[in-house]
Amino acid sequence: MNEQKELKLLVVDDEEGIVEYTKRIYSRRGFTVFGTTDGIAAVEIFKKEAPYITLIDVHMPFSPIDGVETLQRIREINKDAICIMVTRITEKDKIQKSKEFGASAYLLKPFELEELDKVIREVAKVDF
Amino acid sequence: MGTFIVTKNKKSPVNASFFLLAFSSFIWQLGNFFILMSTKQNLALFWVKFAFIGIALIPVTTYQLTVNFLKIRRKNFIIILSYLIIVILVIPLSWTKYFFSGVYLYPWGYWYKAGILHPFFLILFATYMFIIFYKLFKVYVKEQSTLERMREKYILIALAIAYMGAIDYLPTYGVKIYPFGFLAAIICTIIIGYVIYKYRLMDINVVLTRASIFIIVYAFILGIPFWVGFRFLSWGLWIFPVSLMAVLATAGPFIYGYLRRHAEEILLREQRRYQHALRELSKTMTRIRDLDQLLKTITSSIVDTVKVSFAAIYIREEDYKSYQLKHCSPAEEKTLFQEFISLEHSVVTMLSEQKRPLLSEEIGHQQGIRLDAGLVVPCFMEDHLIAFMVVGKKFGNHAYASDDVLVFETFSYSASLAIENCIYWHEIEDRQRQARLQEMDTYSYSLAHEIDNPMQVILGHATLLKGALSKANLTDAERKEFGESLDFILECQQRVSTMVEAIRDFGQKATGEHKPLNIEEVVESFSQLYSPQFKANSVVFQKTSQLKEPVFVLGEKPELMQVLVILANNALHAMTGLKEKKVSLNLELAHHDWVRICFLDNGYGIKPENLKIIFKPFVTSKASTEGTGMGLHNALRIVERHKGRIWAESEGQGKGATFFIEFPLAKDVKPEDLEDKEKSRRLF
Repeated sequence: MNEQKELKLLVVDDEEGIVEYTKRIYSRRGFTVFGTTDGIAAVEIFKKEAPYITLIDVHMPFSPIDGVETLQRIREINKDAICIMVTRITEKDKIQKSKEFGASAYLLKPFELEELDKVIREVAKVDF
Repeated sequence: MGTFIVTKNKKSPVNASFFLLAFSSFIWQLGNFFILMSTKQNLALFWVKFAFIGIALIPVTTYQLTVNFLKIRRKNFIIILSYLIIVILVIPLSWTKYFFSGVYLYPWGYWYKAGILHPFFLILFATYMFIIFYKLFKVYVKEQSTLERMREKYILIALAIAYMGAIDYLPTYGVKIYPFGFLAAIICTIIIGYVIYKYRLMDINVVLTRASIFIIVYAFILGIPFWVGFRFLSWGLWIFPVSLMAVLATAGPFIYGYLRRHAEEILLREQRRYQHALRELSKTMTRIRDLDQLLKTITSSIVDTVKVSFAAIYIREEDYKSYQLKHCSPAEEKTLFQEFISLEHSVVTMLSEQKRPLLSEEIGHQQGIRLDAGLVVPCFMEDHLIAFMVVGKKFGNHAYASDDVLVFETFSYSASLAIENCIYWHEIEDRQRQARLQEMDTYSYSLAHEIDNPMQVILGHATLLKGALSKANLTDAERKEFGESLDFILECQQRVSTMVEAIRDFGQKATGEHKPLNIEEVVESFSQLYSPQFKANSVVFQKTSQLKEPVFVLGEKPELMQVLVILANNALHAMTGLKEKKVSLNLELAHHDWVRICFLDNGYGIKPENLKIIFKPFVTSKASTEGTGMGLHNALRIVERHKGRIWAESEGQGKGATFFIEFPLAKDVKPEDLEDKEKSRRLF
């Protein structure tokens, strides 16, 4: 319904392939998608662009800060930011931590794109 | 000597009758001594009559000893009758002049002079001796036990020597010959005494050879100076024989030793050969690190070099509280041995107490251990009986002589060392393997983790392309074709992901916390995990279920999966070499509130006697390099932790095996207790 041009999505994942397809799919659906493989860069983009939705990969061994810390810093900038965590079944403690730092939802890898669509629709109350 | 033997074992009738024989010989020899020492005819005649008491008793005491030695029963009557005849008839008669008409005077002294009745006694004496010899010989020929045979041979030889004592009768009838009989009597008594006292005898050929060489050598050494002395002393050249004696006496032991060595080398060539072979084996076997190979080498070398009917080896297994048969050569004989010998078995007790190899005759008949005329050799490590070898009878039914036993005893020391060495190496290798496995474990776990990312990329991009297909400028056929290609990619991605998930489930650390699990999900995860293995071994795997609704058990998923993995590993091994390999798994309810998993393969099956022991640790049908023998034991422990039960059924070798596992159903399972597998997303 909210067919605004301003619908911004930030995707943070240390796997470049994931960042790329998310960019391609969601820009086709009318989103302005920003992507990075680095947690610190993600925080910078968030400050500058203030995206409506942020997808954060919890486990990012190649990034100076991991997903949970990225979430924490983003929430410090905007405590209402909608953050969806992408994680694995085995990282139960990180899922729990993300919940404490105010994440809105989590998704288990590997997930179908339809699943991501559903989560975005539910937590961000947007339609596309 | 008789007194010595009898004090060794007062209750033995053999020892008692030996005492009687030795005693009568003693009277005879004492009499003879005084006859020869006598200076007056009357005195000599008295000693003749005294000595004859001994002589008269010899046939009956020898007979009694033989009867006791051969354990012939119900001959007491004859023995008592014989004693009566001798004591009541013969001895009193000997005091009359009809028996001994007087004494002869020979250059060496007085001697018996036979009267009219004496020949009758001679006949009686000869008859007894003949009967005794005949009886012994008859038993000797039929004897089964090689050791008994050897003992009988000794007695026969001793008797043959004793019969030479009959030479004493010649001067009794006026033939001028020195009565050497005492020598025969002494040798005979010594031999018989040795046979009774010592259980393990030296090879009699060796004994006789040694004795003959000794007698000949010393006859020369002592004889030559005497002869020389007789010839030259009269000329006053005493220094010559004395120095000759000194020289010969010094040389004597060397000559004796030299001759003895050479004679024995010829006599014991066979024994020396295998002693040498075993010594060589002792040197090399401590270098063997694999216990299985070591035991195989030991048993087959013993059979080949010592030429025995079989050799088997038992090793102490703490986990079973028993000794386990580890190797047997030739392998066909294995079926004749009991696999486990308990720590309390009487053979084990005997070996631990005596700490030396024991002959089968010493051990007697034993349950579960086949000895036939062989030897049991213990292997000790600081007072602990770590193993023992059972060695069969020697080729050609030769008995084990004391030298043989000694060789085995020496051999057992190096064998103990080699076995200990192998166990030590095995432990080290085990630890290293454990460490490697642990590393592999972490590695595969993180691998399973890292696969998620590329899978997500494949999934995402393939989905992206699928969406783009509809908008692309393509013909319908092309669109369909490319769509199918993308479906192939997605399907494979799906497959890899489920396998990885199964590995992840399997690799989870056990927490000890039991949660309700859908048994079908457990089985599904197992088949996902194991399907690559089944495929690689071209096994047809079939999974069926008779369950009408989801059924839950309390447990840990990785552990339950492990049980199935263990069974699958064993099934794969049991089907090696088969053309058609089939494994099937069925789920059904049992006794209302239990769930049963039947795991069936068409492999080589399990022998009925092994059905009970397969769940014990270290039991394996695999070669030592392949399995630890812990698989089914671990499976049992897991199942028991889950309050379940596991057992195997098999119709025998070649007919496949079915393993049954049953678990009690979890009651009152609430949906929130369940691990949510279906839901890959959740809103906070």
